[in-house]
Amino acid sequence: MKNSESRSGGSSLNPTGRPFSGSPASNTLFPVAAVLLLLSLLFFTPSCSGKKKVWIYTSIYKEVIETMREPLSKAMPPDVEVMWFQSGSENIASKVNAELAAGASRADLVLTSDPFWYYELKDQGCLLPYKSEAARDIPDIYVDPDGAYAGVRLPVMVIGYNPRYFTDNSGPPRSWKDLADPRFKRLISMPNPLESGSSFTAVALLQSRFGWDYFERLRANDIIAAGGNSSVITRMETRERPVGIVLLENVLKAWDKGSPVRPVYPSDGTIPVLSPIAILRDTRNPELAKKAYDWFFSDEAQRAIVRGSMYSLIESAPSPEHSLPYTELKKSMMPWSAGILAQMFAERAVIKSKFSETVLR
Amino acid sequence: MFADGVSNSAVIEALARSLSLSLVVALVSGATGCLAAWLVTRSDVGGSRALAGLFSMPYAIPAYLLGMAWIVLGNPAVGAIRELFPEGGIYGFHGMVLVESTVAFAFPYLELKAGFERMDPSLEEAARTSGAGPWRVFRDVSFPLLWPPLVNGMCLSFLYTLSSFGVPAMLGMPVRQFVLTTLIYSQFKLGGMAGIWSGLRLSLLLLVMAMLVLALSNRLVGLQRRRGGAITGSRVSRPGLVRLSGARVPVTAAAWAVFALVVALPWGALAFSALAPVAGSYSPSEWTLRNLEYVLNLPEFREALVNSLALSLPVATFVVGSGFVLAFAAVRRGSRLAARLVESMGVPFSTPGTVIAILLIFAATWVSAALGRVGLSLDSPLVWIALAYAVKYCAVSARMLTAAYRQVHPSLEEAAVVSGATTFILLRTIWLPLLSRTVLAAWFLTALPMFTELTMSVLLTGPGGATLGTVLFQLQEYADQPSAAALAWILLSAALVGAFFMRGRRAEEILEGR
Repeated sequence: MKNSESRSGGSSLNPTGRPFSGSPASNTLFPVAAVLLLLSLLFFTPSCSGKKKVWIYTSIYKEVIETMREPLSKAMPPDVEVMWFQSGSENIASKVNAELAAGASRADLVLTSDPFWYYELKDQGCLLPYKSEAARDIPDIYVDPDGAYAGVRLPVMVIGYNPRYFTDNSGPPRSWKDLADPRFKRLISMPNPLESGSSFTAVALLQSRFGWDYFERLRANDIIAAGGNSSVITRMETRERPVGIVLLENVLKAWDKGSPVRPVYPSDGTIPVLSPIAILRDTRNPELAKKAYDWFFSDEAQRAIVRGSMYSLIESAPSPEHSLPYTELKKSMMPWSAGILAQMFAERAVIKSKFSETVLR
Repeated sequence: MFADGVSNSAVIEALARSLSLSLVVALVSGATGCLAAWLVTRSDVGGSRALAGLFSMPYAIPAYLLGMAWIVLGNPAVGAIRELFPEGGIYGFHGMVLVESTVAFAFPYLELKAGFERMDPSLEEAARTSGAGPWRVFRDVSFPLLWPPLVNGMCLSFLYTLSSFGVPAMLGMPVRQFVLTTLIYSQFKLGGMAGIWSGLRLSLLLLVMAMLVLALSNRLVGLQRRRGGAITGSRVSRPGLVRLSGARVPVTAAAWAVFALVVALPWGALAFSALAPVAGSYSPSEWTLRNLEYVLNLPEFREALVNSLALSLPVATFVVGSGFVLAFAAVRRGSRLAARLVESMGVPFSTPGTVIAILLIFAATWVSAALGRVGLSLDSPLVWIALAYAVKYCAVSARMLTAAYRQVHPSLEEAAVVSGATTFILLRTIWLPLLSRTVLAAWFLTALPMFTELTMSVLLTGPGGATLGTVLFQLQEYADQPSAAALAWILLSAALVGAFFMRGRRAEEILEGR
């Protein structure tokens, strides 16, 4: 049976609608009402605020924040409420960038692990210079000379591996150079430097040390460069890729939870990933923001950072559990300076596209 | 030209891959969705009522966790079914098609299922008694009537795949296969201010593609429009089921095998991962409940559960409710404005969540600055998350309901109008019961992804704004894979139990006013 018999009159008319359509007003009433309802969602919980608020956007682990929440509140005046927003470094950068592009960010302080983003923020005049007395023990190379930001902790990129895979005599890689050896073909993964700031730092330092030739050999070894540090850990644990270029703190945390994954401190230098703290220029309460800024360099805060498997930049502080002592680590660390940061920042676009062409093709 | 730091050829390659992936997924889910809907509504396949609910379950799993489950299964080193895949395991175009299809399949499937159930079975019975075989009946009777929901379902599958990020990121990026969304994502992630702009430029490209598909589908559905619907929708009798006779056993086996492939396998994989002490240690002697305990005792878990329910249930109801009215205005009252609105909803649906979230952060900053001037503040992140959900998912219900209105013959409405019914009475007593199945399917398809939404929530959240998606992100990024799998497994199991109890179709009876 065919439906075309029910066709009513001229083919250009909607046969089903016209004869009984309502008044012209109701034609537009419905969509308008629907849109208004949608818009009304915007305002369904506006609230007046009493307490002064200090907003901190950070990529520090939630567990570490939990140990910081109370001491920081105590260190602040009683009429101040500290608000934490926790997410990945790059998510925070996206959020703050969008907020800044729209006018002003709600954040007063930012603590993430992408040094280049701080460099860019400073370049655009979005940071409040503050040469804090509290940060006096931080080595100069990790502090912005104009006081726009200062390193508050030091994550490092190392090589991780799953010992269950290397049961014979061959053994895991011992250096960055080793990773280019055909012996490790199809065994290595790393976080995508287009997504992760720590991975980008690693790529920038490795290419300045070994040249792009090194990454061509990693590509020949069929390296996977995808996801973040946590996906590298998972790939090592499942032995899909038993070797990884990865943040030490992720390896130590996995170790703590019973994972077989272990770190190797490459003989040709671990990679420092400067993780600064900074105050945004448009902060509503510069004095309160400075007070919170200072607190992060206190013994209490630094101890919480070390408990969270990260290195403190203050030399007298202990090193994280299971890790190489900081004094040892320092000896084999790749050189870092404000000059290197500036140069890597200037070449950022080139490094990214060169990496895409060399490894992601 | 398109973006900084990415060559044009890379953009074009990603564009081509996005389009071909979406097209293949739309075709696969259209064909399988059609077959599955027919099997559970019109044939005597074994366990059809159970299958009917279970088929749509993969849709309940957030795509990136489904990806995670499939990586556990098809992991080239330790995957349980790695032999079924080529050397590289699940990674690559074939893996993306497989996993995207198991999710996108829900759109044509649920639309057609609702369509078959709404359709007067006497039409098919008449054809059958006149001697037509099942294929002929489908081709000459069912298909001409179910054409709008099928095209629309495939169109939604296409747009869903085009804007999906999780699966291409997990299964494509490791083997260097980028699609547009993953390219946009990496622009956003590490491009600084310039990255935001070039990411937005790239998403314009995505928008153009989406608009082309929407225009094409409207053209196609326009063909049907001239015919008018032929379904009165009064479900007079239970349809006489087609006897599969000799084929019943193999067809039943095949249907359950497909269910096992798309639902039970990922469920099992997540269970294994959740029970493993660390990723990769799947032997039963090492099983532990530690991860499940950890998740259930997380303080955010309860907060997130409450927030996600408080967000998804009312927002989905609101979105489906306004879609119901909008589609009525568009189809039954011929309102151009309403039709345009329904059409334009396809735009946010096919825009990657990251882009929507960034635009909403712009908006939030402006609004809070304006409110600040009058001494107010809007600190609750839930408001913006709710808005994001509404904007992103409004297309599904509006489009499904538009297609459903078109499919039904207006004689009942005409009778009511002649008897002096107001618009409200018309909607409540005629259209709501008539379209109850589509309303329910639309509600299901709208509420579920909101319940576990991740991409937008992660950017828009703040203190007091934890959702299940943000907790999943936390677990995945900062805890470990087994804990994330534990949460995913809890959610999926809850969804399965829910589907089991939905078989009674209570909700539908309430909607139909019985």
